[in-house]
Amino acid sequence: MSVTNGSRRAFSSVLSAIIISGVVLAVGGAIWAFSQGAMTIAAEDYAEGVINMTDTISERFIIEHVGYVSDIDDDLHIWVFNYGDVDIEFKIQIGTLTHPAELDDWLGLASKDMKRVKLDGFTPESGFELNIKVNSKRGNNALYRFIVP
Amino acid sequence: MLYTDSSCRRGTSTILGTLIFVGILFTAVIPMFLVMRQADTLHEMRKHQLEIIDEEKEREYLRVRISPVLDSYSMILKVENKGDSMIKIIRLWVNEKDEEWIYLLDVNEDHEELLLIEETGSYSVIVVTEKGNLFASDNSLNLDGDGVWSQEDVYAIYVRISYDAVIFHITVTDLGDFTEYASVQRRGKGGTAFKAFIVPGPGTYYIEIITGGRIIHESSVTILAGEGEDKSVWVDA
Repeated sequence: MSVTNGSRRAFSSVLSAIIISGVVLAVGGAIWAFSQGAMTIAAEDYAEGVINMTDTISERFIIEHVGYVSDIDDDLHIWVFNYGDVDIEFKIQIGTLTHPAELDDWLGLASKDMKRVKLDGFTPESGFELNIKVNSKRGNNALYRFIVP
Repeated sequence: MLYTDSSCRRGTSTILGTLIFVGILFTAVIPMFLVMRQADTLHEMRKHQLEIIDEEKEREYLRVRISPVLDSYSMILKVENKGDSMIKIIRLWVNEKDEEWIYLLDVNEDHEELLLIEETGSYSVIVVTEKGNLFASDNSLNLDGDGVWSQEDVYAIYVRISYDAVIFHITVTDLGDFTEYASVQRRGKGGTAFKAFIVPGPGTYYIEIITGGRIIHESSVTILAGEGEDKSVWVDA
């Protein structure tokens, strides 16, 4: 009787050890899988954030020239030069005028390139002082003061 | 006996749990920290590179002058590298027209270029460098209908500061009607601060530089009138 009881106890101990180990492995495996996924996403988000920040501080651009191209039209033209290593997207702001006016519309400019932007229908009076601002999508800006000839 | 069985079960689970914990640590947590650390290192490296590039940009200085070729529709552009690093010129503006002009200019080197003019009028030139600096000609020229050139000179005082501070307040005055003020910032460690002041003409000018509420430089400079005299003066502090 005692032998039988002992063998039963041994059997149930092995079984319970296997069940507990299985539970530990299942729960642990699930946590492992979740942690790996979550931490990969966290690392990717962080690296992406740092790359975006690096691009933001890498932006270098100037308003190279402001003037009129007499043989084309009477509108004001603005030349923007991107001398940095990253491509930029920008808008031009003069007082209340923003070009392009659409909120999601930006002008693209490749690295080491220059772009001439024509301000359609913008013909300020002679002698006016214009404070021209170029805002990049990443939040940098370049300023230029121009007195209309 | 029961105590021993329970202890054995707990022991197995503890070992498995520990193995899983160590596994998570080595396959998820540590790689995540390594990726983050690497991203931070690259960011810092880029920041340092940009500081150097900005400092090099601040140190660029070109002296640009144009002189007429008498009895012709052309003028000579003279560009001198007065900075302390090699400069790559990429573009040239003659009034409202730009043209690609790629030229490498070593320290203290100068270069002359003949520019052809199509029509009468006033002419000035701007030189653009690869690092995004714009240097306008010290003078402008005027070609009238009879093909006669006349010249308008620009007089300037260039202030260069290598004093160990960050922000400088510069005042240039002739103790009369003319007073110009500017606040400039020194870029990078060991770099210089630079500011150009266009002054109305020949005469004596007083320069005062203040940083942290303290005067660090006071001097006077004289720009002389006449042919062959320098139209600009350098002030080092």
